[in-house]
Amino acid sequence: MDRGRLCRSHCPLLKLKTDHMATVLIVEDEESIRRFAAVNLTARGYAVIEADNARDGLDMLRDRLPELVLLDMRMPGMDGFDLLEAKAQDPDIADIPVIVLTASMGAADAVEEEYTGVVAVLHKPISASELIEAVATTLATD
Amino acid sequence: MGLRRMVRNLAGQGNKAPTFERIIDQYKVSKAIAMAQTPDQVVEAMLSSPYLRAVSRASVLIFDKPWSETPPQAFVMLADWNRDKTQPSSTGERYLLEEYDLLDLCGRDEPVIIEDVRKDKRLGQQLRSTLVARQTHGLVLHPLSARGDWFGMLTVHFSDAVHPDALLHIAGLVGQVAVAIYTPLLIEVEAEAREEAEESEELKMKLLATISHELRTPLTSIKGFVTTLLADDVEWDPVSQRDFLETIDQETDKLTELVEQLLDLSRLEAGTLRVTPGRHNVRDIVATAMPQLEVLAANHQLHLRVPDGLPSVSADRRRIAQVLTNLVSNAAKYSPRGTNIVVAFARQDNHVRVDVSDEGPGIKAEERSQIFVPFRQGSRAASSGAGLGLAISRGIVQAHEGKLWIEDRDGPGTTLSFTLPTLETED
Repeated sequence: MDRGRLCRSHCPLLKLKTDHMATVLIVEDEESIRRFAAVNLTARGYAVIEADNARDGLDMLRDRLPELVLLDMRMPGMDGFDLLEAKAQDPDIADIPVIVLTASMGAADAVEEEYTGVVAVLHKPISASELIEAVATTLATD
Repeated sequence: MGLRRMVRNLAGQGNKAPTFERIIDQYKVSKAIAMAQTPDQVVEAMLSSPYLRAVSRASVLIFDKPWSETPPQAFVMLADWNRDKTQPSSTGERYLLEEYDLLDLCGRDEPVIIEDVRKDKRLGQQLRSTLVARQTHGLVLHPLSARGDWFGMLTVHFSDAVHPDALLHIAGLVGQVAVAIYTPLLIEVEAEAREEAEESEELKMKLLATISHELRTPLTSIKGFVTTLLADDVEWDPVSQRDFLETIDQETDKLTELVEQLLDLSRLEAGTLRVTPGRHNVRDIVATAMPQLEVLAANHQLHLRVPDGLPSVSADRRRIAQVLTNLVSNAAKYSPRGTNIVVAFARQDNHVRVDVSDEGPGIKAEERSQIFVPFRQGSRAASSGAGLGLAISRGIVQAHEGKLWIEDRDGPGTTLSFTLPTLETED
């Protein structure tokens, strides 16, 4: 999925983490939004794994232990809240940081206080730079 | 005839001044009525007076709406007190006014006093025998009014002759009984109305949240890929660039379609979804929809079955093409690639019937009725689409005086059908 060629001189954030490629799990049911996040993160040197539903996302979280999760809240069946609930119960993955993506006003506002590990809430629509910055900031301080 | 005069006639003597004991008693009973919490307790409190010992039964009837110019249709027995507790209570029973000839007797201002039910000519034969069977000798019917509404009746049955003291007592208390009964009823009605308003407000907010979410989803892809292309720290290769632009293009189309669907939905709910039916051959309608049908069913085997000699239908060609497109789009969305989608036309009485069938897993019985509710998708929901198409399609077909329904059977396979009225003469 390495579609982009990186201009390293223009990417100060990347210099922070040349030693190790962090893995980011994207859990999002909308194919095009998942792809948007994936191409941008891949182009900046992150390893990306994807799930189009929360159940698979939880399995990948346990199996692959990524450094960060990008989580959509509203998904059919098991949703983002359910995933956060299950994650909090499992000490192996409870501390993995989560950036929440939400298109709903209100519903996810308190999610940062309610669930440990939620480090940021991004309200859709978001730009590529907002996404990259949130990811880079989280992984830099982690 | 005024109450005072009636009482005077009944007693066969001059004006009877209230005694001190009666005033004391009325005060006590008033207090008990004020403390009562249910209609039964109100009636019981009133009858606790020693002046009303001869009362064998008392009931409160509430009209289904206050009696103004037009009489109400029905009434409910709100309370039915019997001194003999072995007698059946009719509390909660609903009666039609016309089957209860007792109410023909009453007016809104004056009570009706029947001294002896066996002799009074105003009573019908059936009612008389019912009353006699329940040991009623005398009967008093009092209108119940509060806040200007005549909302019901108080009926008081006596096992003995009606005593004027008892009449005065009832007349003195009936206003308070009316208020004690009516106020909680009004509060209940108001509470219900408020709850309803709150519920509809909540529904509106939910709907807005859903719409906002549905609009943000394609917007997120558009903004996401535009800013991806604009980012100056990455040089995307031409293949990626094209891919991003194509996604932006598709998501823009989705957004446009969603906006159109929302407009249709609001027209539908406002009752302003207009169709302009004209005389059309079924093949013309299919031809209108065909370019889109081919795109939608590109990964499926689409079979169109249009028999010869179908009569013309009365249809808005563009709108019916929209219905066809929507049904085929659903069929394609919810059935595996490469399977068959059949669109079959047939004559059925004075309609043309269209069946759109797929070979997907089908829809569970409990979810079938939900598929026509806007924004509601079944558990099989794919992530695309807001769940508006079927609600709109049904509205369009109904505007043509046709029907749209889902065949009531378990999967595999789903069939959605609709009918369109044919025009009298054949082409």
